[in-house]
Amino acid sequence: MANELKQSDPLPLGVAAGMRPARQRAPHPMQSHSIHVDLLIILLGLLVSTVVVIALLLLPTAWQDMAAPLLLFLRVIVGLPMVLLLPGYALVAALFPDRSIGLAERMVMTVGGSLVSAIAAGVVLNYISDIRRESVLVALSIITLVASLLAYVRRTNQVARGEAAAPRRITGMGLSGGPVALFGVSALLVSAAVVASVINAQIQRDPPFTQFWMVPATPTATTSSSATPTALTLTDGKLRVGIHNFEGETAVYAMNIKVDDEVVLHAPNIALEQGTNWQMPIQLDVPPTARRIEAQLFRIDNASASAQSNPSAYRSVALDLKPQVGP
Amino acid sequence: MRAMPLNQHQPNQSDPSKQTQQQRQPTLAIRPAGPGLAWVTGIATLALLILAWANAASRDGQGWGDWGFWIGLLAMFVVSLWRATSADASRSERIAVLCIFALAVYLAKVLHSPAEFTFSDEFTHWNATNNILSTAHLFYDNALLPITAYYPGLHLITAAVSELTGLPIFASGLIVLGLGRMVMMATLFLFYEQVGRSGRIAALAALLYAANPNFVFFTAQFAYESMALVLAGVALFALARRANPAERQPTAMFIVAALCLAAVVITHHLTSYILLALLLIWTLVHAGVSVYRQRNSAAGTNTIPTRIMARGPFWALVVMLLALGVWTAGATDFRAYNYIAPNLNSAAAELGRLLSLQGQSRQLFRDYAGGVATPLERFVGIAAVLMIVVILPFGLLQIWRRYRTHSLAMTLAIVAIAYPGAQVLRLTQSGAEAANRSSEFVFLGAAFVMAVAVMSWIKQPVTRQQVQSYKKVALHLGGVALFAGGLIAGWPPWARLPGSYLVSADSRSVSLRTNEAALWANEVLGPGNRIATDRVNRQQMGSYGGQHTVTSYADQVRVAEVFFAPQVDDRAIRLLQRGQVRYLVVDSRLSDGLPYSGVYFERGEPGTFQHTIPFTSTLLTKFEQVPGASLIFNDGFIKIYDVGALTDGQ
Repeated sequence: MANELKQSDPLPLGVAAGMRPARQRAPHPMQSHSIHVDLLIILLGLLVSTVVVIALLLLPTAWQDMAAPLLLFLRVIVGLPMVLLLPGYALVAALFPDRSIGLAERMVMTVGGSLVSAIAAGVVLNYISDIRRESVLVALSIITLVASLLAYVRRTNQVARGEAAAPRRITGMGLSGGPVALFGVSALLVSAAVVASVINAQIQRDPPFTQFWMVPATPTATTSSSATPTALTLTDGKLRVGIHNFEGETAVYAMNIKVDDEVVLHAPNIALEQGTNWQMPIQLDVPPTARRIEAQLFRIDNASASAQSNPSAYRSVALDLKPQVGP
Repeated sequence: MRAMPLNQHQPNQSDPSKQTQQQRQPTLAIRPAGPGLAWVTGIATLALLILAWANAASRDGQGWGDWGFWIGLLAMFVVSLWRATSADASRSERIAVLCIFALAVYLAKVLHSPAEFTFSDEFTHWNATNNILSTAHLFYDNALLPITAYYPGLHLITAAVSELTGLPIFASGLIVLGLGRMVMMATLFLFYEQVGRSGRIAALAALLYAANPNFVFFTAQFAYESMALVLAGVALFALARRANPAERQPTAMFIVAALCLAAVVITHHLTSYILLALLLIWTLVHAGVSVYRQRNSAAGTNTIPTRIMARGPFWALVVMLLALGVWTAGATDFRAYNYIAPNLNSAAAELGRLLSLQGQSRQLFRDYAGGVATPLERFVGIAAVLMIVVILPFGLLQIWRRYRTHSLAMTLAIVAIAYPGAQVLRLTQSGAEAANRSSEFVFLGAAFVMAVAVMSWIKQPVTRQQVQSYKKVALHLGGVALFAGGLIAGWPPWARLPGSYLVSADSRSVSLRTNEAALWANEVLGPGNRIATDRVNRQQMGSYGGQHTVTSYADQVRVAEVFFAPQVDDRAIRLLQRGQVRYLVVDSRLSDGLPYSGVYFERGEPGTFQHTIPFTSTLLTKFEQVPGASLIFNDGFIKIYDVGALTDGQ
């Protein structure tokens, strides 16, 4: 590396690192082809990305389910550059055809240009179409193609004028085998730490609990934020009741449903494994004068709580059928 | 030290041809990275492993997690500072070290919440992104923070990644911001390099920027400002590079800057306003410097207006104004003004009261739940602020001596002067947030001024080699104090690591229980119901739950008063009716203690930021006795009441 110059501090006045000197020389016969290699790689990447994304769209659902992890991996491999690298690289190539910027500058502007492209594509699509997978793909492809074409034309013109610089060769950041191996080991260790942290964070540390709920079978849920809420109604006595076990173990429940303090339904044994839920539609014969429907849940695998011996329910919910405005 | 004559120190910006003759040919090949980069990589990896372990320990309630957190984080900083500011490091090595540092610090945040978003703002932006994915259009109502729907830059990028890769919003957001953080750190280096003309100053300034209180967590979270800072960084770098007389592609650089400026406008309101202010200051300084240079140089042939507009920031300012005008008036309908103005007015009013000795000052290092920082943290926090206040004048002096004809350097100096003023704001309640939120912008200037001061000091010739070694030790100790002090000032101790449930404590209140309640609401009740609830459940009900959460800032209804009322009287019912509230989500754990974030429900509630007694449980159980209120969901702590019968006017 004897011919290399060291960039010590301070830099010379009026010049900043990352700026390459102007070249005034005639192009090498091979140069007019070699300067477009990066653009060819960009276009190849664009083609592969487009084909993969479209192919996945057309794939039968059953196949997609069968090979879900593999397909996700494939989509990530082609999708990430499609959004975060290719449009920006093409834009930078079009703006700086003479390669007058350094690698670091090119990299930050490549990512910056890609981020800007994604934003611009989304805003334009919002007004002329929809922001969906296909339209995003088309919009980003158009940006990349047009910018690549512009880069090709500008570089070709520069070659014709004899102003083009040879493509810069990147030789692995000047790293030897040892540091590269260290980077690999580091990446593996950090990945393992992240995966272990994900698993660790998903361990339930909340105090054990059970969700218990009861709603009319067709809850009068509003569908827009501006809709006026309506009173709770019970159509033909149809209810839905549900239990979700987060006790950290299999739990056995019993359930009572009472109409005006009279038990009308008793489910004596509902066993649920950790993380599973149970729900059931219930048809009750509710008299028109009924004021309240109450559902009580008991844990019967726990000696301290039993539907028969302990009147205190583990959970209870209640529907008030005769509302009176005011306290 | 004597000031250099004007014609000796900085480039003559009016005559690029002379500069090219002086140019030393820059490095074309990349120098071998050497063992320094390997050390940085190895120690950063080790630090991340310690952090992962510390986070796991903290989740299990083990006290040593706090020490692991600091050891891991400070190790990353020290090793990066050592290598990036080393005299024998190459330019590419400095950039690589900064990128590794940026990624490692970002991963420190990821290790805090590796499985899902847990920071309060992240739910808001998850919801905004999800709205784009589900409606395929922009500007869909986001009740969690309505203004976010009108600044969709981050959401559009994340949605594009999610659409094309099939990854969920969480993973897509992590990738986008992880890449963004590395780009931001590299961009900071490139930007400071253009201003300071020195790789060491640039590397030190970039690392000192990381000492701003919001760097580790706040601007790493999935929120629009995090992305806006990345884009703003690229824009500023391109403008700085364009201003360099040696730049042969000024037009292309201007196009890059203009595109990024427009993207900032679409991404975050506050960042775009501050960028506009920065460009305005730069333009004025540039005009002043042009006049100054014209008077001190007989050789100049260009007229002053020509100089101002030639390579200065004038046209960027025009682009910024146009983009802001078009987007603010056309797409957002001036909503950002209504969002930001009350906060600024409140901060100004409170500062006025404090200055007139009438207001209530804020106690430093004490959280809203009564917790007090350890003496060591208080010492480091105060020491960091004092160090910056002491170093800044020396840096400003150096900038006046060496860079006073460099308009961008002078602009950064002016920005740095805002730092002491921002610290005064920390003494007030509203001002504290304004001061905290401004730090990522003020540090853009403060970091550069400090780097110039420190490097001038380091490079001063000394007679004994031992003194030089002491200086290096002082540099690293000082850097650690600044980095740690910044984090102490910006992020409370309980929020730095995961752990057991705390009342109204954002990431510490998010749990399986709150998540599952929100998912239940979405599945069983359906999306779009109008819900009133506390601060933490609101974020999850409004995002994963798909509900419209009613608040004073989104719906102009103070539903929090319903929870504070001793009973559900006519006034409370009228409030519920005004808010068209269908469901109340009540978390009985609110009565466990004081709110760590200062509020149980939202700002403006009785006792905002001044709660002295916990929320009483009777205020939470009162709904059980209300005729017409049906308890439809119960998990032991979280209860959901259907109050449609009360609010439908029947």
